[in-house]
Amino acid sequence: MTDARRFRHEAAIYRSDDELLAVAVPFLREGVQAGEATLLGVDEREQRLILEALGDTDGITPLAWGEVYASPYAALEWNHRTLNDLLANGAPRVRVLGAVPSHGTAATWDGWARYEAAVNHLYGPLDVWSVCPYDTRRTADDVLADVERTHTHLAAPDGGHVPIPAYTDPVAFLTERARQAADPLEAEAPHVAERDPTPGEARRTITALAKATFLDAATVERLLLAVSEVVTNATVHGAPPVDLRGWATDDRIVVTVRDHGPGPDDPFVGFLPRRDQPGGLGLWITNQACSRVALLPEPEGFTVRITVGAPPG
Amino acid sequence: MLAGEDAGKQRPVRRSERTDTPVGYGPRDHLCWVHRGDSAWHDAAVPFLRDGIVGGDRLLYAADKDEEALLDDLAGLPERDALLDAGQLEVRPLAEAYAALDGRFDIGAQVATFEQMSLAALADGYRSLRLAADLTALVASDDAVHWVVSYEVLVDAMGARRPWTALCGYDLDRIGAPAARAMCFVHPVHRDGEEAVPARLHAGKAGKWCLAGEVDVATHEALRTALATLPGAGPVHLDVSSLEHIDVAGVRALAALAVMLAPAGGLVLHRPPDVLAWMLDTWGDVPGLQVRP
Repeated sequence: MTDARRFRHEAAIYRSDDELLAVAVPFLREGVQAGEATLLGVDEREQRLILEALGDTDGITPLAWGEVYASPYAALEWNHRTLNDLLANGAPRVRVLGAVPSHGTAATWDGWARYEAAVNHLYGPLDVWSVCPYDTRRTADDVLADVERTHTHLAAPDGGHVPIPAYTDPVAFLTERARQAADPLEAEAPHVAERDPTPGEARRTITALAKATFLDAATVERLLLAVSEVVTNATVHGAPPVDLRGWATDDRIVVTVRDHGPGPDDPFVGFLPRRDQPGGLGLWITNQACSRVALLPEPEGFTVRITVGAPPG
Repeated sequence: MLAGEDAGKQRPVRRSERTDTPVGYGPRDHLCWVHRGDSAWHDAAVPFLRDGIVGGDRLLYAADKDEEALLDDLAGLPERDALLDAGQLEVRPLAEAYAALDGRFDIGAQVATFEQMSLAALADGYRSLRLAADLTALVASDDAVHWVVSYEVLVDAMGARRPWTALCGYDLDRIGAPAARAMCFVHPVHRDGEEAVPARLHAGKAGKWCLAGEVDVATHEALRTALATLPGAGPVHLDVSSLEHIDVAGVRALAALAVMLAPAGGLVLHRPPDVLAWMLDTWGDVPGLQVRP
């Protein structure tokens, strides 16, 4: 992976508009001057600031940011297609200044953190230089720590592009993150448990569990869809026995599905809607149907943990 | 209005369900009865036909045996001989009732034959043509399974609008579990039992097809087989409002069908439940696929 790697994934951690402009303006201007496809995906206010500071905006393509970055999976799919198209159509390189949306650094950070890690692999062979701006004034410290672990370089306001020592291999990052995201409920005996359920039996078991919560119908229906996909994957691609476990509070459901197979060959399965990969599409939908999805490779098995509702605490 | 179409008379609701009895069904109902062995089959066929005596149906009984053996099967049918004499009951060896037993009978001609017989029964003063047929012998090979599924789908579309009532028997020990599940899947009513399936595809109102119940790995094969047989002249309309679950592979099968039908008008999904609508929205555009709330 490192050999063929061309993708540059940098973070710009800024404390003021001036610092943002100090990174963004030369980065974008140099892209245009080099004849590269140059994309700008930030919120409206920052986009206006950056375009004004640039003056000459020829060659800059502002993105429909709210749409493209609506969710990590929407962003992955759109970017993946767009970057490949631009390069196939002769762009020598693509530069992207693309920001995670404001909710992304808060309630939905888990998905975006996984996105930031996964792009290192998924865009690895592409001639793309991406700078992801993060505003320290609205980003929590633990989120910034994840940012440093998922970007290879820091784009600094002084024009430097400095390697980040904390950068972590994406597979290690994702696995570690999945482990750390263990839910406190999992320390209790499961509220429901079933061995080798069919997808239909699993849906009925979790439907019964959900009756004890105040979660809305749409949330529960998407959870059932996810449970069904994960049990199907474990049954079809994994190894028996398959153990379904579930826990519920008033406002949260945690479900784990463990099988005794090695898990998917590709640790990045489920990030892109790969229709040629067994189980890939099911996991892609599962990722979008739930608040959190964690894939946990184990010495003698593989567990998927899915969570809906409010985070613990 | 086509000649003989009895839209002016009462239109009983078409049943769509799993059942543990062949009794209590009437015109437009189409049942699949998976059984184990001949006597289990008579035990269902006789009460099914008996319902038609009371209801004023013309009765037709068919299975893969000669006329004498067919009559023996119906020994338990009250007034059997009188019904025969009166022309209300007829028995036919399967090879006569269905054009050929090699699994490659002419489906269109077969459906047309039953349509004519249904209309003739109505013209002769009967309520409907009530058919009990053990079709096990038609399912002689994997290839034949597809033919019979295709036949069942098309005859169901006829049966949804004609005075026709049918019980289709399949011997599980002879056709095997996957074929039995496929047959259950393409009948609006099927027997609750070991090869019962949680989903159904059948003809519905106003030229639409209905996909109902729970579609998951238990029904994928049957779904793909059945979808492949939907006639594709003009858009295919599929009412999915009674789906209780459909998984990603099920949606993938619908998307593949839409792509295949795109040149002929595509696939229109009517009234998807919320979670399916969300999944289709997340999925993105599929050529040939339209969704109508």
